[in-house]
Formats: sequence, structure tokens, C-alpha cells
Amino acid sequence: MILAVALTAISLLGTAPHADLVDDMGQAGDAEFTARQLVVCWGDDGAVARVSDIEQSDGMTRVAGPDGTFVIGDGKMIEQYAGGIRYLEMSPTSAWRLWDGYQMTTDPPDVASVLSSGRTVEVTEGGRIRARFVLDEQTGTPLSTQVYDGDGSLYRYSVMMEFRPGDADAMSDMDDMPDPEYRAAASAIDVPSVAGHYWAADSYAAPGGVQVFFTDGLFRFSVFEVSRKSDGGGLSDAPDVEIAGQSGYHRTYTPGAVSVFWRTADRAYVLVGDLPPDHLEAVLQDLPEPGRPNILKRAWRWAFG
Amino acid sequence: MASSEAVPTWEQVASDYGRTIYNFAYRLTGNRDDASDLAQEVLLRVRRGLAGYRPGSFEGWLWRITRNAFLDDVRKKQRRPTAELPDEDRSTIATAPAPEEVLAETRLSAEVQAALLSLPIEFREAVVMCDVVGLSYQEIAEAVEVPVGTVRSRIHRGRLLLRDALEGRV
Amino acid sequence: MHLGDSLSAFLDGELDTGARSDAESHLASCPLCRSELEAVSESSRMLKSLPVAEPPAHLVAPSNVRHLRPRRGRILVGAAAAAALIVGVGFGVNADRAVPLQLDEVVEQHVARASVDPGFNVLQVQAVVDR
Repeated sequence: MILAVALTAISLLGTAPHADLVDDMGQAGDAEFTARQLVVCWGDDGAVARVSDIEQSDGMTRVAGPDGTFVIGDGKMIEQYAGGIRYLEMSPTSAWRLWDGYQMTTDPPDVASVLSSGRTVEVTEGGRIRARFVLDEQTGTPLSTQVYDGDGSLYRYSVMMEFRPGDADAMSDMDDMPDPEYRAAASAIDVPSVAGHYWAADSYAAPGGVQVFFTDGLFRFSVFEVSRKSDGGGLSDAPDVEIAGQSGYHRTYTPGAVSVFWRTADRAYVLVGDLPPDHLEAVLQDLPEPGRPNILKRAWRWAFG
Repeated sequence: MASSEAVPTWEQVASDYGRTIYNFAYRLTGNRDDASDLAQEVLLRVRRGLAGYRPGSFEGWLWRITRNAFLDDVRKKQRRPTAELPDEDRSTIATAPAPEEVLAETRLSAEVQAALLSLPIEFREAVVMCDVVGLSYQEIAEAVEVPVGTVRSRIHRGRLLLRDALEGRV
Repeated sequence: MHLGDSLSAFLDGELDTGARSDAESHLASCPLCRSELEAVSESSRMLKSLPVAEPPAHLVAPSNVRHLRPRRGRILVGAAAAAALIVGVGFGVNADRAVPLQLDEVVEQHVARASVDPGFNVLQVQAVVDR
């Protein structure tokens, strides 16, 4: 298991800046539990919320929702829906690490926990609160997660309810698994290797283009570089919003993620991720900017690649 | 959105808010012709009212006019709006290429509209102002001329009633 | 004591910090309020996703306002057509045919990769489910 290898390597070196959190998170990934999870996200156009049933065991998390049943973990994504099973597998090449702009405090004295039990871990960035986790004492599972925008307002809140350790069988109803679709490494053309303080960890072939996966260890997003003619999968119907003084972005929120679609002079991009709004703003400023079609640029690419 | 300091011109109001006013009216009446008449009436009242308008909460002022025009209309017609299939959705069915998803979505929005029309007017206007128009509780309170606490309770009860109405229907 | 109409205010970001954290801790322990929150959030979501109805033109564009947009559009089209002629016919012909993007697949591929990172994968899973 790649994750276990990466975590062991970090722990053995003893140089991890936040060894506690790394341990907790590694442990949480291996924990077995069932729970109901409430997630609320406050986007610019109001809040979205969702409650779902979760089961985790053997490093895989199973969630049953209206669109089907998903089992996710360790680079695998298995979707069971009315029409059958889809099975995607990815093998990342880079190990996990945490951005050094974050500071961690365990059990900060002046914070009253929302939950009766659990250890509180607070993440600050430049002295301001960025995230707060309440971790289950035994398994390290984040029972409550709060993510804050740069101005200190709450952006996402999630809480595990009816949390029961043990007694889970995430893969139980996934019979007759088809062969997975593997995603090969690939490179994007106009996506930089650093955006905001996030770094491009690895990139893959994706439906209709290339995926570049960015992370700062705490949050993560993918940028998909696709044809300018892409319809944006319905995202282009979202209102045209201005982000960091630049118009031409179409943005939607779900409780777990923000999605942004935009077209540049000669390509189109989809960004999907869980990063907070002020980080998103900084990231978009480093990515190719929205623009009108540039026929000369397209001709150049067409002729010379 | 107009800033609270400047008094906008009528043309600005029409081009900035025309679509929103029309959608507000359409969701409250469930009928395109009524919505069109109502939006027209609102713009007329805005035109008359702008002369006497003092810079302040423009949104509160505008939505108060809109909402009063709607109530006057309801009183005049002396009938409750009926929960018929909204005509927008019929025309979508007729003209769209009709893949299954579009049909399912259209049916859903027709059901939501019908459920909305079954709510008492106070609850209907509160949830439409909040979720369709996107006003804050304070702005709704100014438009409807009730305390913020009442707005809060109407929005909450309106949403629960909507859920009940939808469950009864599905 | 249940949250009642504070639930909608919580959802709409209309509670102050103190009331919000009170609501959070109550929600953590009260299944009744959670299901009520789910109900109002679903109603709100459905209202927000109602299609925007297009008003008759006279309502948004009063007759005494001059429209500059169509004219500008025509000039642009002309310029684009000229450019297409210069660089070759290939670009003018199918430039407008949309290539469908499967958003589900894009989100799933992001989450599959994200699931390898330690920890917060439960939220990542949520991103797929609530698409």
C-alpha cells in the first residue's frame, strides 16, 4: 500500500514537521467504522448540505448515495450504479507531505470542543485559523472538520454522527468486479507546476484531456486541461462570475467540493477540489486566464503542435 | 447590484433587475403571462417611485414595491393561483431535443413549482425571496415589513411545507 | 430544546458565531434536528436549481435604451471570419461543435487520486456523492 510506505518513510526519517497529524491521518485511513456524516459548505450563492452513510474498512471508504454506491480509497474508485460497475485505478508517483506554511496545535487551550470526546487539532496559516479537526481518541478519525476562509469565516463544516468504530465491511456488496481502468501518466501543456502555494504532485491522462493533481497536504484539487470546444459538462451553464478581478469563470459548489470551468484563448479548464475560497483565488491567478478564442494561437498549435 | 449610495435610473433598474423581478413573479404566480404583467407593473411603479426615492436600502425598497404589486394583483383577481403545470415547462418539452435527463429535470422543476404554488402566500414569498432571488433575511424583512425573526420562521416553515408538498406528490 | 427555525438560519449563514457553534454542537447530538436540516437544505437546493425563466425582451431592454452589443458582435464575427480565411478553412468549419465533458468522470478521477493522500478522504468521498 503506497500510503503506508510513504507514511513509514516520513516517520522513520523523523523530520516530518507534523508527525502527530501524519500518524493520526495514517491511522484514520486504516480505521474501521460506520457513521452518518453531515457536510455543510457555505459558497457564494448560499449553503449546500448533505447527510450520507459511511462505512470504512481495509483502507476503503464506502458511501451509499442517490446516484449509486461508491467505494473509494488507495487510488481506487469503484462506482456501483443501476447500469453496472465502474472501476478506476491510479498509481500516484509522489509521496504526501504538508506545506510548511501551516502550523499545528494539538488541543489548543482556548477552544471548547463541539463534541464531548476527541482530540482537537488546529491548523493556522500566518497566525489565522485555517482548519480545526476533532479526532477520535482511539482511531484518529476526524469526527468534526471545520475549514475557514481567509477572512476567518466558516467555509465548510462536517461532523460524523452515530460514529461506531469497528463492525464495517466496506467492500461487502461489490461482487463481480470488472477489470479496472488504469490512468497513465501524461503531461498538460499550459498548466504550471506551482499555483498559489500548491504544487503539482502528478498528472494523468483523463477523459478528453489531462489531469494535473495539486496539493498542499491539507487541501487538494485537480486541473483538467481539455479542448476549448468542451461543453464543461453542464458547468458552463453556471453563472459567469468574477474571481480575483477576472471574469469568465463558471463556478458551482457541492458540500464536498468547488468546481470551476473556464475557457482560455485556445483551451478549456475544469478545476475540482476542496480548497477554501481565498486559496482558490490565489490559485486561479497562476493558472491560464479566461479569454476569447485566439484563432492565430490555435492555428499555430495546429501547425506546429 | 446597485450600490446603496447612488439612485439608479429606471433603465438601470430594468436592465439590472428585470430578469430577477420576472423570475420572482413567475415563481410566485406559476404563469408566464401573469409574471410578465406583474413585472411590467413593478417597473411602472419603480418609474413613478424613483423620483421620490432617497438613497438607502435600494434592494429593500425595490422588493417592497415588487411584493406589494404582487399582493395587489392577487387581491384584484380574487383567486388563488392554481397549481397547474407551468407553461414554461410545457414549451421546454415541445422544443427541446428531449434526452431523458432534460425530461426528468423538467418534470422535477414542474413538481417543485406546483408544490411552491400550494404554499400560503407569506411562506411562498419568503422562500422565493431567499432561495430564488437570493436576498438576505434583513432585505426580506425590509421588503415584507416584518421583523427578521418572522422572516426566519417563515423561510424555515416554508421549506418544510415545500418538502411535505413534494413528498405528497412524488 | 430543538433548533427549529435556527436550522434555516444556520444553513443560510444568518447566525452569529456564538449561535452557530451552539447549533453545531446541538446537531452533533440530535438526530431529529439533523434530519430537519437535511429536509430544509433539500427544499432550498431544489428552489435554487429551478431554471431561470427568460423574460420577454421589453422587460429587460426598455425601448429607449440603445443597444451596442449586437453591433459589436457583428464586427467581431466579421473579424473572426476574416481571420479564419487567413489561417485556413479548417478552423472556421467545426469551431462551434461542442465536445461533451463527463463531469462525473472528472470528479471521480480527482477523488480517486485524492484518496491516496492520508486522512481527510471521507470528505473527498463526499465530493463524488454530492455531484
